[in-house]
Amino acid sequence: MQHKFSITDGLLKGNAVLEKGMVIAPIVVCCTTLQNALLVSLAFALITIATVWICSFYSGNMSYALRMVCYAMTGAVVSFPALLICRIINSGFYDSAGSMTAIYLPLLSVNSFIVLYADSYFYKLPEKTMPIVLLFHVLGFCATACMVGAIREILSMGTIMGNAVDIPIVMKGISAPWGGFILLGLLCALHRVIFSKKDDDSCN
Amino acid sequence: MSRYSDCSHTRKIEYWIFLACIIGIGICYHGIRALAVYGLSAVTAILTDFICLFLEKKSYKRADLANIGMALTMCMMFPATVPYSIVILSTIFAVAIGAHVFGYRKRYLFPPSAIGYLFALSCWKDEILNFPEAGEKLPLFHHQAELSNSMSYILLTENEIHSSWNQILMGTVHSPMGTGCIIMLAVGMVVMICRKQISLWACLGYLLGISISSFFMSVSIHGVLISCMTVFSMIFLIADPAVMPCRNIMAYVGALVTGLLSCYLISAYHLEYAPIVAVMLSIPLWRWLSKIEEQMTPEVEEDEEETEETTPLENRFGDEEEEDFEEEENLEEIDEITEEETFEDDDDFEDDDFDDLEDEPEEDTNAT
Repeated sequence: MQHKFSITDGLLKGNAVLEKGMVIAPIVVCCTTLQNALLVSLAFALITIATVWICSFYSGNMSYALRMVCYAMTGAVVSFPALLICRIINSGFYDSAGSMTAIYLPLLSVNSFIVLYADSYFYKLPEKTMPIVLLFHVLGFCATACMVGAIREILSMGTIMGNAVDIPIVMKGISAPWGGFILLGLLCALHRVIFSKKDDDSCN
Repeated sequence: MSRYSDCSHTRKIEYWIFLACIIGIGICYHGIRALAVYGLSAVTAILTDFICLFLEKKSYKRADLANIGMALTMCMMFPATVPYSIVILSTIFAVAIGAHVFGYRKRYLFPPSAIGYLFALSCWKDEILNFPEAGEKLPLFHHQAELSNSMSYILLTENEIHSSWNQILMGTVHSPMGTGCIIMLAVGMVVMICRKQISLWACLGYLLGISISSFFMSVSIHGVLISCMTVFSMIFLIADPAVMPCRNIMAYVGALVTGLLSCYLISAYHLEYAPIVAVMLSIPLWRWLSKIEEQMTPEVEEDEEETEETTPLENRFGDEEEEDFEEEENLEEIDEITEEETFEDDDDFEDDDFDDLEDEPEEDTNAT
């Protein structure tokens, strides 16, 4: 059954991370705390929105291989000012982020939103609605990243944004990548349960 | 000839008796707290099972008792002083993720007890790797026991044994609740092998792997055998048919590589839990060997009545379970077929017709 298209789908129902399993690596590896998640979200939003918007002006006549090269190069160029902005906004925070985060932030310039989803989805939308849909998809990613970061910080350190939270037991392992995978898997299952139920209700 | 054939009931009892013996030794050494830890783990395993099965819309069956065995096996690797909250969370993780997600009622992808142990280890390392002295009777709550590193850790780091051989073999050293008593484990292993509960070839392969690796890595083989939960892992994780390939040669090769890896981890990284990590690292190889095994056997298995059983060690519940599955599948198929037929045949199907259809069975039942 086909669902009615909505421009806000990317935020919840069509969330790229929870529904399609896209851009999982930065969330699993970097979003160990809410602070890290905010940093990743900001970098992702800046890089992805700018790159997809710029790439939308490229000619559609280009071959697929050449187009991908152009997208990647544009992403790489955009990532410099984007990461600079991140550093300016919160320098201490950027510098204190873990080494894994420092590795993954530049890699966001070739995330699957840019190299896969842009061609197959965003550029097929009408020009006027495309930026809004893109914005909601990016917001969906940011929301998921922050949620995962917050849950992992609470469970693994017993804090939220550095403030202590009174929980009976902390599980350090949740901050490891396997913890991220399991948590994300549970959230995906929850997402599926909620929205498949809603779909069933709407069908009935 | 199948390795795990016939008299499944007897084997099951033997397995549980063996588990009970190890638990009994733990209780003798550490008092009532050890019993509480085991009991809590078993209860948590049952409750987790019920919840998972409720979510999966399935009913609790005899096969699910296997998860209690896994939970108990996991607890045997813990110290007696492990906090109850850790026992509960680890058991939930082992049963829900290890058993239900990765291979429920079939061949498990990972040994659930190993998954639970590694989860606990990565989350609460200090609580898991510090042990009380054996013989110290611990109260149920607020124990004041002095904890120290395990005998295995001291042996690996200082290359010295501070305990007598008698103490080591009897398990009266700083060690996990169920993995210390080497004599008991060795006797149990021999019995289990003789009763074809566990694979002799897997045990031999593992021992050979350890021997080769210890020779090249200049580690004393008896040091490896008496420490690092080696014998325990060999019985409950490596030779466990729930995860290990069934054919003797495949089990032998899989265990050999695990033994090599295990001894390497012990000598290079001084990991006292090396065999468990080695098991997890060997899983891809085991799965590959199982796949080869499946490709080699289908025609033979179809023709012969005595097929090789690949059911897990704790999961030997006979044919009852399979029959239940078959019945469920048949019922589902029949439902699907009847639904399809009803909708395909009636081209002009309307709501009124649906009401008529609903009424029909009632009339029939009244008539009968």
